[in-house]
Amino acid sequence: MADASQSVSYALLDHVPLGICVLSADFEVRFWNSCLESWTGIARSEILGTDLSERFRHFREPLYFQRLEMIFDGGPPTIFSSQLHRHLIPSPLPDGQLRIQHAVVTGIAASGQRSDAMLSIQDVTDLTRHLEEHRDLRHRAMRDMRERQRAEEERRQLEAKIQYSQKLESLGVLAGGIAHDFNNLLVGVLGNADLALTKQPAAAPSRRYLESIVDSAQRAAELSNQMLAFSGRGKFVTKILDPGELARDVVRLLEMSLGDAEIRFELPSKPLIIEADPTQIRQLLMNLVTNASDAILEQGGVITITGGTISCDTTYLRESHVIDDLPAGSYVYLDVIDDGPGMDAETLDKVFDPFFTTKFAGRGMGLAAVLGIVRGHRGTLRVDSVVGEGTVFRVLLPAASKGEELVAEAPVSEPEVEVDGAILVVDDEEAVRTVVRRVLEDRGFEVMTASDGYEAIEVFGEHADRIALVLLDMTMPRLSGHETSKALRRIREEVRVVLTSGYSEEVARNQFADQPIVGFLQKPYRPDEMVAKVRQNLRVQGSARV
Amino acid sequence: MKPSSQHFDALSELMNIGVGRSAGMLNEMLGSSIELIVPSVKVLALSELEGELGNRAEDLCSFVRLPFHGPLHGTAALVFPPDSAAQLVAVLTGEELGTPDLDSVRAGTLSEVGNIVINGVMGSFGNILRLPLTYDLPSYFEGRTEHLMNPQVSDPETPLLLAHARFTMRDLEIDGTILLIFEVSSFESLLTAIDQVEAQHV
Repeated sequence: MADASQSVSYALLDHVPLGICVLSADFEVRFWNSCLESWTGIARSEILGTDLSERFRHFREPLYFQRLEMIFDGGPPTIFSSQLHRHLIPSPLPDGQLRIQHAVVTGIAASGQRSDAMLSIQDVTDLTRHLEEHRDLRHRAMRDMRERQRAEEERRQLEAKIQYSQKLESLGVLAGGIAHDFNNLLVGVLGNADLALTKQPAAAPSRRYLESIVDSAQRAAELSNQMLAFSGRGKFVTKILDPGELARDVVRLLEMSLGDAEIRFELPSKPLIIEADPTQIRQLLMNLVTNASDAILEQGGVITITGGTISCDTTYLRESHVIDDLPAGSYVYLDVIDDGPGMDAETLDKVFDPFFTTKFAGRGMGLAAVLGIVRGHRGTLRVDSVVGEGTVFRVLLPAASKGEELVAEAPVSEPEVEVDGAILVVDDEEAVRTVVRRVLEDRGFEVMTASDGYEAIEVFGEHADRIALVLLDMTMPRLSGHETSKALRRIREEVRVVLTSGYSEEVARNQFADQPIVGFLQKPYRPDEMVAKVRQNLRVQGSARV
Repeated sequence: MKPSSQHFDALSELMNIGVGRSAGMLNEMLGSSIELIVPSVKVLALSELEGELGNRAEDLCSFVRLPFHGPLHGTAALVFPPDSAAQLVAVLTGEELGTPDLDSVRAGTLSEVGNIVINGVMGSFGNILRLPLTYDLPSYFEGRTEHLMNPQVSDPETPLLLAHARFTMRDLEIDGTILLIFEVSSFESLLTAIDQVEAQHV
């Protein structure tokens, strides 16, 4: 029952721009201001004294009912926010939508034991719509901004990859060039040292100096080989093979040098099949295992070699260390895991850079060569390292198709016929010509030499009937090995050419794709190796005779 | 009058009853079960409040604050760490997580949630202790714990009686703290009211 002062209050509330409604504890409407009349179209005379929850059933739901009950019991004010309820008293707008309302309900003293509840309802439709528009705009702007940032980040990563790729390319050209020249020089060093050794009596004190020269030159040749591998110009003759089996071979070879390291194999029982150059994969595994062994050298530890076949999507491949775009598909992985001290981010960033090393005696070419070999096989690399826990190097190489099978190498056993005649040695390096001539003449061969292609054509023109084999350098000034070979073939079509180069066999064979060559001799070579190659190519299958 | 261990126990129980009541409503709104961590009650100085709640000085939390008056003076509040506040709004409104600025959606939603929880607790206090309390309107702000109290309570050494309870919704990764801070002038009335209720039950 409203008293006089309450009537005055209601009169004041009647014209405020808020919907005001007072409910008794049994939900009877005691006041309904003109604003609510206008919003709802429900006249005060129609609603006063009626149960609001009968008209608007949601007031009987616990979320409303319980909270209003607390108000009737003298509890604190209650908010019904526009965000969670949209509207407390449904009030249509001219466009048919309902007003969005924010309501605060407070208890007011009533004549009985329980309080009344005053619903003070604010129309926040315009404000909410503006905010929603603003929010939509902001969301769109933020989405655009995020897309721009993502595009910018992708562009930055792509640029970084391109730069890295270009850096690798340039370093590869440099390393390949150095290795080539180095290999030419080493032919002279190794050849002369070997020749000198053969001339020395067994007890001569100078032998150990010569042996030391040979030893150093061989280590230089190994370094040169790593540089060639990094440049992607290493020897490259592919076959179907199981890298897991090669890993076991490599560990057997390295057994003595692995010290206290414990090696564990966790390889599948079925072979892993890839098409790759076995020599290069051996080199790769040797470098990774040696690297792992060096990592745990001081305190000892475990090197685990695991492998398998996995399906890689482009995202996984893009996250790897190699920047080339690789197709998604099935890849064979080999993990070389050590429990050594691990690497920090700075070291990890440079780990494949040529000549980067953290070892006192390291040359920094081992992992660079691994990278070159993997790239050369259209594979990729991932490295995970945690300081204090260890490192995992994962090599991923394209799996060969299922139809491919491992084929054991079978020796060819056709009858061979020895041919005789002179050897023409064509090389622009005087040291190489000299040492090859000396070695071959020592072994009873007749030798002619030429310092470039033009001279070779001249000599061959004069002695074509006497020359049984041409030992031809691939890279020469004035006239290349390839042009020289073509010219020799014009003089005598069936000329037998063994190509020699400080570059790899793959590079050589690519350049000589249109020129038949009978053999390839990789520089630097030892005298015995060279003589064997010459002898091998002086023998022809069947009964043919030059 | 100094609060005894029985007073502390009684306050803990009152908190527990109130928060339990609120939890039911929140559960209904969020469809997620709420886990309550045992309330703690202690007397401390205003300057110790931040450390007691485990908030770092640089943390800006979301607060819903409800000052109350009458025989007891103080502030009831619900505090959400920033991540929980954002997650709660996202669950209730479908708003995108990670919206960086405060907007009305966030303020409105958190105000109502805070209001439900605080009302549950204060309702219990009022009913059980039979104290006629009056309340300001609940308000929402983002800031530091030190801004929680009435401006007139500014002396860092002002003693306060703090009852607080943490709650967590594990599946939604939301947690919050409910605070009841009674100003020193209320101690007497509060403890007397507790004593009277206890006496009736003996």
